[in-house]
Amino acid sequence: MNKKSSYNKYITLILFFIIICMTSCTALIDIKTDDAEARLCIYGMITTNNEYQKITLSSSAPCFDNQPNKKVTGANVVIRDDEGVEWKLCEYTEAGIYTTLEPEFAKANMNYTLEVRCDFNEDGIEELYTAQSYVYGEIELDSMKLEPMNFFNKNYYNALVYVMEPKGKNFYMYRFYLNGLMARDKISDYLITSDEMFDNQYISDISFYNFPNISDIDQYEEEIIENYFFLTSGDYVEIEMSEISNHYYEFIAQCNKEFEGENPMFGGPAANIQTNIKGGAVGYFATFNGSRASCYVP
Amino acid sequence: MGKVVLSYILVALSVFSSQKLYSQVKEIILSGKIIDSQTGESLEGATIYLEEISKGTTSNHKGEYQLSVESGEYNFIVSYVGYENLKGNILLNKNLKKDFLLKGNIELSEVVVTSTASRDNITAPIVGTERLSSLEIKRIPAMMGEVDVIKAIQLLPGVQSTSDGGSGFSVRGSAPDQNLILFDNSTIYNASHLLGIFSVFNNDIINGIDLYKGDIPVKYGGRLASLLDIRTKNNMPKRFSATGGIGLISSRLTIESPLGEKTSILLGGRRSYADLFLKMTEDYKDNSLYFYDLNAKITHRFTSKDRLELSAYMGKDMFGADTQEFNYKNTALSAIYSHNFSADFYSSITASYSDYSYGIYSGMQNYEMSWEASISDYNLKADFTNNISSLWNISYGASSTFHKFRPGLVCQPGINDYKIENNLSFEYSAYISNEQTISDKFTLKYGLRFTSFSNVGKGTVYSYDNNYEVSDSVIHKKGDVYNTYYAWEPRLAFVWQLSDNNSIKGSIVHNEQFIQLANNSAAGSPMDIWFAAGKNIKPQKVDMISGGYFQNFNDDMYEASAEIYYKRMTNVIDFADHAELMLNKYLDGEIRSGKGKAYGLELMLRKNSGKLNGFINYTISRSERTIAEINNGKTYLAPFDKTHCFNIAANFELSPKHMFSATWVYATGMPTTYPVGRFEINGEYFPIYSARNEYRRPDYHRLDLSYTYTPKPNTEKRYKGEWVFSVFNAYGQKNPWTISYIQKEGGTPYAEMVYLFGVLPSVTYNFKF
Repeated sequence: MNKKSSYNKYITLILFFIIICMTSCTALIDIKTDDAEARLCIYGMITTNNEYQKITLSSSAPCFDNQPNKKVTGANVVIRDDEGVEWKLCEYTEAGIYTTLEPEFAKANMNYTLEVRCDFNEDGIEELYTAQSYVYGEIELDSMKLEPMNFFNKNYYNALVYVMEPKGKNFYMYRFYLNGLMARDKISDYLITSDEMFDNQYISDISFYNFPNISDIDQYEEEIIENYFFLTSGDYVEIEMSEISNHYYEFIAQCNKEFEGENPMFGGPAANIQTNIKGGAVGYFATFNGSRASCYVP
Repeated sequence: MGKVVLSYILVALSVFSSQKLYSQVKEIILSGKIIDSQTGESLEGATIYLEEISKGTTSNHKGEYQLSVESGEYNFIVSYVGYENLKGNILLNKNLKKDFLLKGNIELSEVVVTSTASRDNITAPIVGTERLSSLEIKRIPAMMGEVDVIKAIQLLPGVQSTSDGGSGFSVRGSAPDQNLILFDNSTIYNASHLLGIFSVFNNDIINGIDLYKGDIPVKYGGRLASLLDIRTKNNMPKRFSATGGIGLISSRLTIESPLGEKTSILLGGRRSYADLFLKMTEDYKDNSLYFYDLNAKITHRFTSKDRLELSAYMGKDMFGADTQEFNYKNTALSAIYSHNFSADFYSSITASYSDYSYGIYSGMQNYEMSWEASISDYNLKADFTNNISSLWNISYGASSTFHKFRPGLVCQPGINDYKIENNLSFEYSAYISNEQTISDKFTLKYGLRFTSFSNVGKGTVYSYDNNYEVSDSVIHKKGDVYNTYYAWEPRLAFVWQLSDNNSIKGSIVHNEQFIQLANNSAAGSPMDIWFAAGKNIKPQKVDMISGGYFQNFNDDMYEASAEIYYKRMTNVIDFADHAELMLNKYLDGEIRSGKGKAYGLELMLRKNSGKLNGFINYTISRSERTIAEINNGKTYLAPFDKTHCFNIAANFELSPKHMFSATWVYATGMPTTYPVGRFEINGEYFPIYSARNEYRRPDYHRLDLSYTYTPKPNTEKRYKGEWVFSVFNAYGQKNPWTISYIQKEGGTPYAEMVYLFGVLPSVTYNFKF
């Protein structure tokens, strides 16, 4: 279903062949670079779900520093919609994490503006960082299905969604919930698709994700287990699908591409990840209007 | 196509009629062929030398030679690598056609190894050319025992490998797609097997290779950087013979045989057998993984003046697992008809077809799909050479190529097929050149090539705004010529022979390129597609000036050269940050073009004969690009810029039984973009990068060794065998192939490199009967 992710699957397959036919090995390598000036990182994705809406501020760090990046505290964070409704976000629970005082929800077909004021460069003058994001109307997920399958001697559940894709150039993002809890909220876990290959068609029986079966868990390495969602018969799986902007789609795609460094066969030269934040910060301000479908694992 | 055929007929007619206009010539022309007395094989690069006037020449790829001299009596020496010298006396008072038969002492382990035929390096008005014989290529210690043409040329000055162990190469700082690779006159678009580890050329069927590093003969065009001309054996064997080898990766067999008195056949095959081992493993027993090459060539001589060569190549790589399959294949077919009107006037007409395609297939439930792409060329050309006098050695001809690119078709059940439109284009060209011996010391070569390149419908052309977003589209009907570029490509070269043993050469060339590869990764992949110039993409252009000093020592035992070049490129392409190059309808919108510059100095010393022979070379160079939308418009290093390159290839023959070879390569690390910072989102770290190619990878170096043991070097029997033991990367240098950033849950990132090769020993058994 997903153009990029399904092609990447085949590319992964090809890389698998390379690995079995070469005596490749890995070794640590020490990369010495001049450290870039620190930059403010702003990230947040507000949703149409009634929940505490959240923006995170942190500072960039030298790439191979062994300490976590520092949070940025004491900033003024405001989100405003086009009708003048304003949320003021504060560090109620944790430094550097700015949330709304009460659960709030974004409205569909509405434009939201984020304003962050802080003296990040410590010159005594506050800088202003702004970003805008539009909440798309809801796409109607009809249903979803999980089908058992076997691939390279391992068992998986194939996740299929059923949805009418509207006309025009659209981009989508998906999140999963397992037994009512959101499966890790990390950019590398977000699935994204464009409609380039199935514009204005009814999508059915096309798999866009494989969940590994818990019965095979001892066949996976520990590091892989951390990143996978293993399903057991009877689990309740929910999928949330939202239309997103082309720009945010590219942001997630770029994050996933640059996350692991270079790919000598299928990747291009390293390039910086784009942002929609004005004022010199990195990161993203996004909006999400999810339509849900669910099923039990057979 | 009718117009094309007609234009050839017109060209041919004008040639025949103009032939009668040539006036009498004063010089006497000695010409003929130099051939193997036993097999009848034409010897390319053999030398004939007239002692009295210290003048000589080398035979061309058909074994033909020609010398213009004043009348008189001369002592001559005809020589060729691995053959006994032929000496004698000849009286020249009229034009004479004489063939020389050389007796071979060549066996699997002959003593002498030379590459460039002696003196050619001093006397020919060609700058920046490299020649390797099949034998010389074979001597180079081979990775996993697979003798490889491309790996061999990567040892030459000015030639860089683009990734460790890969078969892409960069010539004088240019991109790998700026090299024209011709295999018996057919273009090879992807010369790699096993995703780049081996090249598609089976050395056993190769006669030799010529690499022109910019000063491409005017007969050829369409690429900026180089021509790699690979020719299969031009055989006319007297008897059946077979050559073969059994190695760890593949086995190969080549047979040559006469078919009657006028026809001969050459058949070669090679297949890898890693999949046979896979079948023995539990995990991978259902997988297939192999490549093969098949070559066939039939040569028929109608008369001593007319010859037809039919050549075919097919090669395929196959990766299959479970219900998945990935394959890619090359097909190249050519038919060459040559006719010699006289010893001074010969012609050939070539029809060739070349195709590269790949396919990915999945039969897995809910993942059923097929994805196919290909590129095909249909080419027809006519070439004429007419040596009238020392002042007029004219070559001319015309060619036409039809390119058909199918960038991708994806079929999946349940949704409509996804197709990137085919891209069709015609490339017509005509050329004329003359080689003029102005004095004993000075020879000039000049020529002009004209090309027209047209995009032909059916096709959709998108327009892009300043942000490279699609703003409009125009659909062109089938057969519509909707865009044409014209190119004039002049080439000029001279040789000024200071003495018998040294010369100065120089050249100025202008080359243009109309098709290019959509690839921006370091190693490239078999799935890279080619795309053509068009309304949005202008042809790439290069102007190159180069020159060199050439010196031979000790009766040509040593050859030394120092060459410099400077290239200026316009419309050179690169790709937008995060460009999507596969299955993209709007590929043109991902292209950014600008200027490029490259310059360098190449020093080479060869020892052609003796127990110890080989070469050492050193290149210092720089290649950079300036493109408005990349790196904020600041000049950056081209991906294949390597400041220093040092290569040694040496062979030492202890005795006819024992032969040792070694190569050592050193190169400055490739330019790269490193992360200079990181930002964090939800516990994951993402890089903030330096300027484009601001840093370099660690320097590259590697030593390869081989030992050839010939049990019975002097046997009278037909069957001869040898063992080759080799070690690739003998001291286990870990050269990075890729650098990744690893982050574990809750941790911070660290850098890790993948290196492809540890110490790789191998053994091969070669035989000949």
